[in-house]
This record gives sequence, C-alpha cells and structure tokens, in this order.
Amino acid sequence: MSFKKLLIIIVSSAALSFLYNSLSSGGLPLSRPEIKIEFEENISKGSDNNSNVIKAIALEEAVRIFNNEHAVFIDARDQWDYAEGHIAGAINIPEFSFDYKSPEVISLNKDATYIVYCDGDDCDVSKRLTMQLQRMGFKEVYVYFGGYNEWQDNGYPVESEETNE
Amino acid sequence: MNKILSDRYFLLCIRIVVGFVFIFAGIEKISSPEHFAVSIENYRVFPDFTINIIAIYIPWLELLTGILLIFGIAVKENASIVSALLAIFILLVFSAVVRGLDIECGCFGTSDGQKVGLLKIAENLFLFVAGIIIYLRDHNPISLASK
Repeated sequence: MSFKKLLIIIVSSAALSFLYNSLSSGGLPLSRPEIKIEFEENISKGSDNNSNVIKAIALEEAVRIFNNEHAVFIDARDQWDYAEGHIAGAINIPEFSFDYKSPEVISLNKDATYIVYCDGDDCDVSKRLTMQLQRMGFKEVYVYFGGYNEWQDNGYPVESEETNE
Repeated sequence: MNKILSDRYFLLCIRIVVGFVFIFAGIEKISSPEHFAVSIENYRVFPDFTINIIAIYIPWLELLTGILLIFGIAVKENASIVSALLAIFILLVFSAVVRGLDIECGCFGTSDGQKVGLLKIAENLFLFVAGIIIYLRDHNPISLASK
C-alpha cells in the first residue's frame, strides 16, 4: 500500500468536496448556525422573524390557539407515532422524510399560522421542521414545546387512527 | 474457498458491488447536504463545529473511492479507506443502538428513512468484510489503469 496514493485520494476528495460546496446553491456554511429559542406569550401580537431564531409557545398559549382554531397543528413525528395518537385535528409532516416539494408541504399556506410539535421537550424534530419551514418562507411557525406528551397528560383532545375509523 | 477469494473475477465482482454502494451513498448525500448534516447531528457524538465539515467531505470521499474501486485504480488504498469508513459507521450505529437513539442512520441520504439498528450493523459488517477481502487478496486487480 502506498501512503502517497492514500494521501492523494484523501486530499483530492477534500478539494473536490469544498469546491463543490462553495459552488453549489445548496452548499453548507462551514460551521452550523446556532439556533436560539424565544418563547412568545401571545402570538397574535405578532413577532419578528429571524432565520436563526425559533419561536416557541408553552401549553397555555397552545390551548388558547387550539380553542380559537386560528392555527393548524403539525405533528413532526413519523407516521407510526402519528397514527398511534396526535393532537386532535393535527396534520402529519414527518421531519425525517421532509421534502419541500411534497404535495403536503406545497398545499400549506405560507401566511397561515402553524404550531409544530413532537413528543415532548427533549425531541428535536419539531425544531428542525420549524427551521425548514422558516427557510421556505413561512412566517408564523411556532414550536409547541410540551409536545404530545404534555398535551395528553393534561387531558386535552387527542385522536388516533383507530378512533377515526 | 481460498481459491475463490483470490480469483480476480470474484474480486472484481466484490469491488463493483462495494463501489456502487459507495457511489450511490455518496451521490445521495451530496444532493442533500443539509439532511446529511442533520443525520450526523442526530448521533450526538460530534462537536457542532465539525458537523458541516464532515457533511461536506465524507460523501465525496465515498464517491471517489467507489469510482476508483470499480475502475481498479489504487485498489489497496481505496479498500483501506472503505474499510476504515465502514468500521467508523459500524461503531457509530452500534453506539446509537446502545444509547437507545431512535434515529435514521443517514447512510443513503435520508429520503428512505432507514433507521439505525442491528440490520444496519449487519449490512455494514458485510461491506466491511468485503473491503478487507479486497485489501488482503486483490494483489493483481483487473483494472482500467494497468492496461
């Protein structure tokens, strides 16, 4: 085995990768942007948009929005978790297979308000999905941090595939 | 057994299989770097500042080694890179399984949503063994370069 050849392969793929990354429109910055989370007490007051800030709401605000029906809840977990149980009326956009060209995503209204959630405050998919939607130009996307677990524990309406059928 | 493992055409077949898997895996990730970066992040092993660099670099290393393996150029060197990468992947998937992380592996891009698990480890182990066989046995590879 020749270490010179090994080095050539390693260095040339590095050169190609960074060249491609700098030219590609989908190229990544070299370090990941830090994401801040800001809680909103009342989303109807409106809020600033910053691509590295995720807007979040707590249970009371989620309940208030749920009752006013002026937002759509999005379940960011996979379709199996969603089928087992989700917040009543929520739609399912699994973050792990997120595709901005998919019909579900295209059918969303960029000016409407969306509340994204997953299991609870230690899951990340709701935050990631929110970032994706913000990047696509959605303005009013909020993460409901307590997620499905908190919602269910407090006895708020849920539904599952079985109860639908 | 020994004879088969040293057969040039058998070794060529293994190289083509491993090579195509790596080319496919590389292209899938190159086409959606942000997804791959998120997959790496999910393993919760790498510090933040390394994640994008890994996401930019590894797919191209996979692509290049895959192509070179198929064409029979620098076979030993590429087989060692492939085996080293697979050893790392196996450890990562194994550590994710042990920690109970329910994440997708990010092996072939993310659109298929393959989760980490024992099957994934077995797949990688198979490719790892193939890489080692190529490294140890392919002394006189069928190659485009040598003609």
